[in-house]
Amino acid sequence: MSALLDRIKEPFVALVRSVFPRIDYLALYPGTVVLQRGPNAIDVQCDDPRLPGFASIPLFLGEPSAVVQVQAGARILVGFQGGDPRYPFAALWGNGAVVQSLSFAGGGHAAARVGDPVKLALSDLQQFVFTAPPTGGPCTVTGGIVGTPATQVSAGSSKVQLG
Amino acid sequence: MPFATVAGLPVVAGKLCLPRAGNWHGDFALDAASAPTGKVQVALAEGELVFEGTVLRGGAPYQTALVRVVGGAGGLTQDAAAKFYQGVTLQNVLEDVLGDADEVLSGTVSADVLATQLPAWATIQQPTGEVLSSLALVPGVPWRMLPDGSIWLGAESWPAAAGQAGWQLLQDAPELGRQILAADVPNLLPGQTFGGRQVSYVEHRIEAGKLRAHVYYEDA
Repeated sequence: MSALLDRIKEPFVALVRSVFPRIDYLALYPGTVVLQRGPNAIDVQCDDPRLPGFASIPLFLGEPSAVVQVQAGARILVGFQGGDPRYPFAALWGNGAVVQSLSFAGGGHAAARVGDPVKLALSDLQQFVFTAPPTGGPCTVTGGIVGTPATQVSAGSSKVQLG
Repeated sequence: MPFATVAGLPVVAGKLCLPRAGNWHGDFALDAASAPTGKVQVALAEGELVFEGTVLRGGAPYQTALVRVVGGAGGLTQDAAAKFYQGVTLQNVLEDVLGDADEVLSGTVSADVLATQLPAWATIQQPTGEVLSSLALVPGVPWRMLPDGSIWLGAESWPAAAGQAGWQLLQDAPELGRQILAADVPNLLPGQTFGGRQVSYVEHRIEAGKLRAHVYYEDA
């Protein structure tokens, strides 16, 4: 048993642990992502050598419909639902996790950010009148956009997608 | 032949504790100048009852051997290896964990219990007995070490103890839910029914050549 316990306390602790054999399953254990096998399913090696290596355990992100792809090496916690050894899970990222992709609500469309390019269709410019002076020089432009222009975000994040 | 022996050595005094859930153990003073080690048999009633166990610790400081014996191979106090399983049965994990501890699963465990499906299972490095208790929680049944040194788990069926007419009631303590009994062959075990009451714990106390069974009941 633990070196922290003396000979007299050990039997008492053993008695308590025999009544609550799953007490160790109620903790969260820090570990490192070894591999991502599928959407929100990862292999984790915990720091505590008393725990096994986990394969393809579910990743609980905390937001419904979120799916993430991370690089190996990310830090995360491993726990057990209800303290039940049948249901391990990983959740709660440590700092420094490298995200390769993240999607919400099914994904499929890159998320737009401030600074991303926006495309404006040429048909929206038809009410503009360009007048060139007969003697040459800069053109003058009159008129303006008519109605609601058909604009479209033409590029977005390479990592974050929305559904 | 002495009434009680451990590894064939006469028991001067001692007790054998048989819980309904968990491993049994016994503490004995033996008429021997050195303590036995390793696997031993605890024999009662001149060999009529035999318990297969292992000496956990002992010595002979006063030319009398003093030993603690635990049921089975003594592997339940050893740490189990950390392992992760997926898509297995309770039997798969039980046999793996007990095999590592040199312990044996009883052949009397029901097939239904053994076939319990586990979508996954994580064994943490902890005493094998704790792993066993944790596994038994899945079907929600107790486990215990049988006299033959094998491990049983399952739902209690409370069979009636054999030879009840041969027991003599020496003391009744209803406030404690306990009776003190004597018999030529003290073959009463936890998990049985005695006098219509479910037996929870039996402690055989051996002193001055006599054995007294302190029997605690579930309905207390």
